Amino acid sequence: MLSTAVRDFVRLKPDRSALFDGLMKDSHKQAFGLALRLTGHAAEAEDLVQETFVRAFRFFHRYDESLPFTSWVYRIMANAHIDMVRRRGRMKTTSLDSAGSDGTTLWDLPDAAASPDRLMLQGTMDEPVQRALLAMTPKFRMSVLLADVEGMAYEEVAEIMDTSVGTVRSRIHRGRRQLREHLKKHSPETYSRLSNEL
Amino acid sequence: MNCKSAQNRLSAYIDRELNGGEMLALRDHVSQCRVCREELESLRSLKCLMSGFIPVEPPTGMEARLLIAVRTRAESSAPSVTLRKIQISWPTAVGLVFGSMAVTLFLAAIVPQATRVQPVAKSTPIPFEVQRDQSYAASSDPYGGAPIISATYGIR
Repeated sequence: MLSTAVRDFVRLKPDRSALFDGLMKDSHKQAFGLALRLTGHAAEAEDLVQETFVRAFRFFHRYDESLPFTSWVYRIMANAHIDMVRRRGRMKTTSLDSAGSDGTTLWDLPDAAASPDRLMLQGTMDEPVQRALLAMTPKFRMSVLLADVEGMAYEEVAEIMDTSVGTVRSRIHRGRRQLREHLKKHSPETYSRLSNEL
Repeated sequence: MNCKSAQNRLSAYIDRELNGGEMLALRDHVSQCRVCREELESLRSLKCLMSGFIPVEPPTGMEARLLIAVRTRAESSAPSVTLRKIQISWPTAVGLVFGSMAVTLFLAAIVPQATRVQPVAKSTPIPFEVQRDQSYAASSDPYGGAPIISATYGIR
């Protein structure tokens, strides 16, 4: 009974709840776009967007309305994405003892790259670039996407990623070079198209 | 500006994130250095490629699913407050406050007034020799003499 009373007390007021719904309606498409570039997979992107907005709703009382809602959501998404990558990394860990029980050294592990729905952008012109993005670390990927795709200033990126402008500057520069090297090695035709534009 | 220094600033130059002096110095260097100029153009093309991404529409029904997920998942778990790094749920926090108040009132009611006033213990005087021994050991013997216990103590 006490728990319910306390929950009712801290639950968002109806007008705040309506405000959240409106902001979510306006920003969810843009959030999905970034999530798709971060994960490279439609279902994972939807999961990430869902996790982000659930967290945003829980902590909406901390949101400062003088700041852009999208930036606040991106900040939550950056953390949620890192948590997601860590969780997936732990799930993929397989004990060495589990192999070779039948006298072989074969592993029965799924090949993520071979999955037909792995990349939503498969077959499109963006696919090689998306693959290059996925080869980067999440923090580099997020920095490059916020600067190049979202067109944000370094200070905004630093605010979202909770780091210094100097770190953002370094991540963006190194990230772009990594992208270029990946394209040069794995997708020479895209790289040559890029070079021809010089 | 040398090539290494210039190349480290190329991305910030493209994004207009350098200060005026750095922008001019870099522009000057790039106009004279072919290697850095090519590097600059390569990074600029990459940025154009990225910013030209076609926006992808969310899957059908995502907005409705999102609304349901936010309502059910966010409201199903009790809201909590974070006190530094300790996570305490609201019911626990309120219970702790009321509990501590109840214990305080209970103690105030049952402890008699008389027992709270403790008689001041009388201090027993320390023998003069012991006081001097302590002072001597602390190298602050006000009398500055030899120790109370002489070196010949116990030989007799």
